[in-house]
Amino acid sequence: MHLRRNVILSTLALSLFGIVMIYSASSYSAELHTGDAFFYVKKQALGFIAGCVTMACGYFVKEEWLAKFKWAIYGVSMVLLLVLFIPGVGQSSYGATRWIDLGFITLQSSEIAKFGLVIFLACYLYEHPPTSLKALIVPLVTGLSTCIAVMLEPNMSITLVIGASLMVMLFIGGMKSKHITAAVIAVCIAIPLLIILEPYRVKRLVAFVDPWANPKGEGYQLIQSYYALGSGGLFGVGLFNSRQKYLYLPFAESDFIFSVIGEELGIIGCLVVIAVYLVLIWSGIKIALKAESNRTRMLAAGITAIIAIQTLLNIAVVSGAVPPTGVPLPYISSGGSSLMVFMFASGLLARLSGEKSGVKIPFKREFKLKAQKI
Amino acid sequence: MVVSGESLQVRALEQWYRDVPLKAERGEILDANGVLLASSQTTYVIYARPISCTNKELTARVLSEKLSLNYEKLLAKLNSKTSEITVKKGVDKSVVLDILSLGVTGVFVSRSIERVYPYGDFLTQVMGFTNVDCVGQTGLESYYNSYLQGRDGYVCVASDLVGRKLSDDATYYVEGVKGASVTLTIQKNIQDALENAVESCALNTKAKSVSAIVMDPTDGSILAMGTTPSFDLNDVPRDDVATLMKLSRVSLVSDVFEPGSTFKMVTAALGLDSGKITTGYRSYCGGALVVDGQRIKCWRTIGHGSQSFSEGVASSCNCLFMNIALSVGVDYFYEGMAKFGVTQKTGIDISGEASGLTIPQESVKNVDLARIGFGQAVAMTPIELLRACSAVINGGNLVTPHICSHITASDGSVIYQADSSVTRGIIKESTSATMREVLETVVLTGSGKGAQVEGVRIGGKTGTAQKYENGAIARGKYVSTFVGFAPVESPKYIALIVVDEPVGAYYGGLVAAPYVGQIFKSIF
Repeated sequence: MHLRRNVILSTLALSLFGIVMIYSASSYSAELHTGDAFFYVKKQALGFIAGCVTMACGYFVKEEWLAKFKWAIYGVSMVLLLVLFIPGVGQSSYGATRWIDLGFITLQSSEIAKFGLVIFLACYLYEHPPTSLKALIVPLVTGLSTCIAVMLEPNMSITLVIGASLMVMLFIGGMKSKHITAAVIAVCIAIPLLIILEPYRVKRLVAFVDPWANPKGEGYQLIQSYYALGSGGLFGVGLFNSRQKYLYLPFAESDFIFSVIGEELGIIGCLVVIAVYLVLIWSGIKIALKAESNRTRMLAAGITAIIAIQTLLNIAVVSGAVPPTGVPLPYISSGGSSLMVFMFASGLLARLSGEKSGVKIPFKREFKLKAQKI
Repeated sequence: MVVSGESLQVRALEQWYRDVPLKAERGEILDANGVLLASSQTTYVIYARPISCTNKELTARVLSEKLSLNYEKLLAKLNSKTSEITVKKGVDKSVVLDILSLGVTGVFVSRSIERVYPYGDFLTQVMGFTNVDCVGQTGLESYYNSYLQGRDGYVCVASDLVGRKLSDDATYYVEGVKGASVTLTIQKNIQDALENAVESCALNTKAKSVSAIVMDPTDGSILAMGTTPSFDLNDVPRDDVATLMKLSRVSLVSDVFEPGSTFKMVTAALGLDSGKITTGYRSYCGGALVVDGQRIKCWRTIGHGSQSFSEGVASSCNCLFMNIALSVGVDYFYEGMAKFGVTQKTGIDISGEASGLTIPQESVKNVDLARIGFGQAVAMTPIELLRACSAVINGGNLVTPHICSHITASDGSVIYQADSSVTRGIIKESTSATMREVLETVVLTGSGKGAQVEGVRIGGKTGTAQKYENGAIARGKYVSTFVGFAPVESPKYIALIVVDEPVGAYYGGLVAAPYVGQIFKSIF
């Protein structure tokens, strides 16, 4: 089993492939709007280099440290989410306040918070198994407050990802089946309510049922995604040959990059990309299965759940299997902070595999060499 | 939800390409011998955008000089806040190139296709005209528009969402198909003669309007057709719509009138054909005839005395024709009128054909029949009259008048051919021969003397009818007509002239016949 290698290689493969696709999807619009065809590519490349660092950090982090600082991790996550509500701090676009502009990088709070919550819950549930209703209070309160904070940005899709990951962790942590049933029912009631509360979500739902009913309005994005996938067919129109990227497809380099992949590389290309995700996700599941402690198991499962659910949700949106909701494709979609966080998660996941091997040594050697030079 | 890749691709392609139409060239209209009567020409429209005009004085000077426009007005427009000015339409290419070489700024040019009629005011009402987008609006231009217009081509330009052209992608040209050419039965030289004749007739008689048709009586081909007043097709007076509608009306086809004495050709032919009347028939005219207790006057109130059939036709004696109509009876007469197509549309290829009318057979009384006999109490279009008269002299065949001979697609194939078939046996061949001889005497010795042309045997019949206005006879308003045909032995041409409201003299023999003679003179 080369689980650690699988995690690292698939992560690198997806991230590098992402940079290529971002170039293809964004060069025209970037040239037009910023005068630099490589605008997004440069940002993503920087994100990737920083991501390699965060991945290394993730790899070298010890589980015990995470356990020790679990409340701090949770606290930082919540603070990042809550500062968005301070006027002037949060950056808004398309009616949602999701970003903090740090000057050199734009940070999406929920990206950090979702993994923060996973780490916190894994460590907390390890110490306090959720076997009774009383023991569920802290995990539910912390988990749901994260969900609510993200929901208020608003960002329903990431809320869904976090909520689903929360369920996965509680399940693995040993939650009783009757409690699980109750929770599932609660969620089933909550989602429709959340949709009805926001008029734009209802419109999107209608557009999802028949995008051609309003092709210039709510249905536009999905139709454009269909055009891309439909034009791609089996083998695609060839790398860099997308026509939809000429401003027809909104968010071609971010939330809808999978459409461009489908258009340029066809269903074959899509399947290859999905296969790489499956390698990553399958490795994550295997790591969780063979984990020695329940904490390791929950950490691996939580991280894997976030990767898997977000990937699935993105592809489902792009192909019109679920109503449109803005969620980036992990590792591939444009977004430096997102890439850094996901690469950190990959590093941590690789660490959790518990495999000890040769990679560690050259790393150490390199450090030593550098130290000597200095 | 099931979506098909192919249909998505088609929709996607539609949004990826901006298609700019390439106007197809409109087909030509030719006379029977291939003389170009209507064609298309590429001209240019000059626009100016004040905001991008940096040397307004120079630009205004060049444009005003080259396009003969007012300098001050143009400069004022260039100084205004208008985003775009249409400087002039219909500019020649050489002028455009000249202007662009003289350092003007903010000036740009677009191509447009314009309809051109080489002879201007010629066949005007029949030809009709197009609107500025080259779509036929009246006359043949409208009737055959679907053939003439062709199919527009397109330039498909690969572009982004907002229409910016993509530099690295192809531009596709979809060639348009030129419209088909319509060849008419009109003959330019005869049309020239006809236009001259109606023109001089209108001048001499000061008539409200004068119309004439020349047709081949054997197959219904219209050889010439025209009405005055008219207008120049290259300069359609579009400002006054009501006047334009009136001027472009093909009254020969669309308006009915009381034919008067010209209708006597039909009456005489029916009489002879019935066998009730022979060339030896004699009738007495005392200046009037009493029918059903009503006294109906002959035009010559002192009477014609005793006349032979031939003399009666030559003098156009009303009493003779009343007697003929009464002799053949209502049933025979109405059946005959139906065969001659008196109240039936001819099917000519001109829009808006009207149909004649008369008293319904079931309510017609002898007094009415007598009147119909000499061309009153019956109304028909001039084209219906001409067709009926043709049947009288062509051996008894009813033709379908038509102006279009055939239509040739841009690839040379003939896609439409006029139907020249005739309905035979309206009257007997011998009756028709007799009628030709009798009608020749009208021109030789009778009321139609004015139509004589040396060296050609011409037959014909005059007509003068009083006009009705609001159901009552309009005093002093007449419609004078003449139907003539030549040569008598085997007619190749039949002509009808309708002079509406001549001033002063109004007898058909005086105001109408000479102009048919004028037309025949130039044909033979």
